[in-house]
Amino acid sequence: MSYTALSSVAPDLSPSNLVSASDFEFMLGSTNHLSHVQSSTVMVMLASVNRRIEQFEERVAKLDIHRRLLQSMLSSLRKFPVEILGEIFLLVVPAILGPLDRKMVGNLGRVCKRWRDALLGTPAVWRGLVIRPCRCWDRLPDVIARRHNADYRKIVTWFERAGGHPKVLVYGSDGTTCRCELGGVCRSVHPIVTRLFREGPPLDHFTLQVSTTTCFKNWVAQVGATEGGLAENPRWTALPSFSLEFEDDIHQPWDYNTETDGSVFNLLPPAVRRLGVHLPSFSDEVDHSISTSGLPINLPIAVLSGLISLGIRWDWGGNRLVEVLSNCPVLEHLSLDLSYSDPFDIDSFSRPLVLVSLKSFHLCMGGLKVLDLFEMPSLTSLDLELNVDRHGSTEVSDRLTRFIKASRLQRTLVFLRVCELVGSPCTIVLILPPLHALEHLVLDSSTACGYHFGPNVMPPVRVFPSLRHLELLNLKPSKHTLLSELRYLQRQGIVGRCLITVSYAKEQASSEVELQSRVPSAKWGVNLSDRLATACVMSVPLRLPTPSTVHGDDDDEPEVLLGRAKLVVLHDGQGDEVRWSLIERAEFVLLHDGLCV
Amino acid sequence: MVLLLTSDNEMFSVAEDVIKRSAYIKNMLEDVGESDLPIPLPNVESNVLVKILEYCEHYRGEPLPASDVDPAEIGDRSLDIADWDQKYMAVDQEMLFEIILAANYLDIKSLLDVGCKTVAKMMKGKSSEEIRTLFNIANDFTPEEEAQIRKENAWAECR
Repeated sequence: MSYTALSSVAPDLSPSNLVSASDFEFMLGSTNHLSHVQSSTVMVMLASVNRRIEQFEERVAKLDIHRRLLQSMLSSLRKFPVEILGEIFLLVVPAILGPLDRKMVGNLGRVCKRWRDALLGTPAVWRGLVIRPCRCWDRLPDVIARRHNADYRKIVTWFERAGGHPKVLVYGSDGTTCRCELGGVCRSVHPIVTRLFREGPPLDHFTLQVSTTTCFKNWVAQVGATEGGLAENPRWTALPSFSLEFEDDIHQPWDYNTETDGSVFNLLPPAVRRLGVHLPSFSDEVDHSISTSGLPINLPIAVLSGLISLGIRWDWGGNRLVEVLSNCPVLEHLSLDLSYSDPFDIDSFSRPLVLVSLKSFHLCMGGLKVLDLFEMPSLTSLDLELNVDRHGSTEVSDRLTRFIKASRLQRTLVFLRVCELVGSPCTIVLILPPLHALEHLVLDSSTACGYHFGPNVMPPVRVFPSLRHLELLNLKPSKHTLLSELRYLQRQGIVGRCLITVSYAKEQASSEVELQSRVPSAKWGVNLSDRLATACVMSVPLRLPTPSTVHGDDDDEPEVLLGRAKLVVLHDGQGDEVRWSLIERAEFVLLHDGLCV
Repeated sequence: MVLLLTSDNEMFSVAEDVIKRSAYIKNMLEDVGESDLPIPLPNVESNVLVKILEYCEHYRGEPLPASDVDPAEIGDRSLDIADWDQKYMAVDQEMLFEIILAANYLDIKSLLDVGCKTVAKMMKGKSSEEIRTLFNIANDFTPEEEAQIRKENAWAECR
């Protein structure tokens, strides 16, 4: 750029006051080293230019803000009714708010006045809270009291904003074990929660997470203490929905007295209609000298007889579950978490218990043996999250069919979900009797390439004539395409016109190149059998090796392929069991996390 | 065919089974019966209606999704969005807001749901300032008001 050109573009940056035009032209046109004076002159000019650029940038930034303000005035977001904003807020935050979620609510409320109004006008946002144990015992008492008082008022205001929505409070564990049995402060006793139960707004549901039965007793004593007795606390006695959750992995003597009068469950709120009981896990809760198979859970009959909903984690009580449920004549919803256990001795039952009112049953982490114990003639929703191996999966059709027929559900069952069936090797066989009322079927298994619903028959029998929504979730990507699966369903006449949702499991398999690169970094000299035993305990499931890792015919069973494998790759999350004897000849076993044995 | 007249006076002729995904149009057709007169949509511009019809066309023939969950029911709602819906919603912000408004006006619940989820996903985990920047919203709180709100929602949590 020449002197003239520079002057015309930015006259105020003209170097005329520093250096003559001819000198400037000379410097521009030359590649000679500048003198000290010339360098200084140019540096001054450069600083001036930089200053000007900064000024321009500031002006642009200000103009940009101005432009954005003007644009925001025209934004369609301003036209959103508060109901839509509220709908969005409810999607942003969960139903029951922990500390971080509350922060998010605060963020939403501070965006602008309109959003704050919308937030306050959405009562469902304010319906549920999680409160963690108090950790401020080391402060001065008056500081604690002031803080608790202020916090209590905030929580009450929070719940007031929920209006008529059901109010839920979770007093949650912070993941550490309470040491009250060793003389420490019981963390289940929180002054704010206690005060809420004494004088706060009535709650519709309360979840209490505690370490031990002693904590629960402490909590109840604290709630009822002021007025001299539990019956004096109307908020507790009238509580319609309650969950008592014991933390896992805490060794403690359990409530196993046959004398029900001494049971901790006598402290349950007497009016409870919806009860959740998350018992301690099987291996931890009792003295090992006591047989767990016949241990009762001493839920008072007065409580059981009024329950319409019961959720229970039952992996220690053996066959006493039937006894509990036999005292629930009006139970409509049952959720049973077996926590990977198989506690039932079917042979000890002469005939199934009929749960006449039960409408929905949710089984979690268990096998289907439990279905042999019951008949549920009013059932409309059956949700099975199974914990079965390949052998157990082959029995599912029979057990489910037997249960459906015994309960006479062919014309009443509306919803069926079956998760974590294991394919053999990849197509899952699920042969069910016709379910004439079934509207929604969900099949979710990451080992399934597809589902086989039975042999071809002519004319086709429409097994699910009322189906409106079929969900095939977490399908394993394979050559067995979705199209062929759908053609099969169509050919079989299994489904009519319905919405079909399909999702595929994320393929975790690594390429062989990646695997080979990971093998040299593996630990060597590890005792193979020890490592395998550990892995067995971990139930690390099987993922077939990549084709070039194992050479076999397409029709070979996985076991055959494994027997020939030099390198076997195992990935987590498929619910299958590995036949370890078949892979002993493998030179490498690569677990899902890259650990080699 | 159903005639629709947008706010910018463009006329659309749409198959009845396509536009019946809109509960508003469906009810109107049932109330009024067959008519040669166009249905005016004073709140929907033509470029937005084109997008709405793309959605309705894609889901043509599929059963209407089951009605919404009971708002009184306690439970978290999934933010999962189907692949096609995600691609469909990959539009500029103004169009996204217009689609939501139109879905609300035309009472297309599934589309409104997808639109709200898309916006919710954009907002999740962001601070108030980040949300303002994202959506170009002016902060009309005084610093004192903002501090007061901050105080209201943060309780000690017994640290």
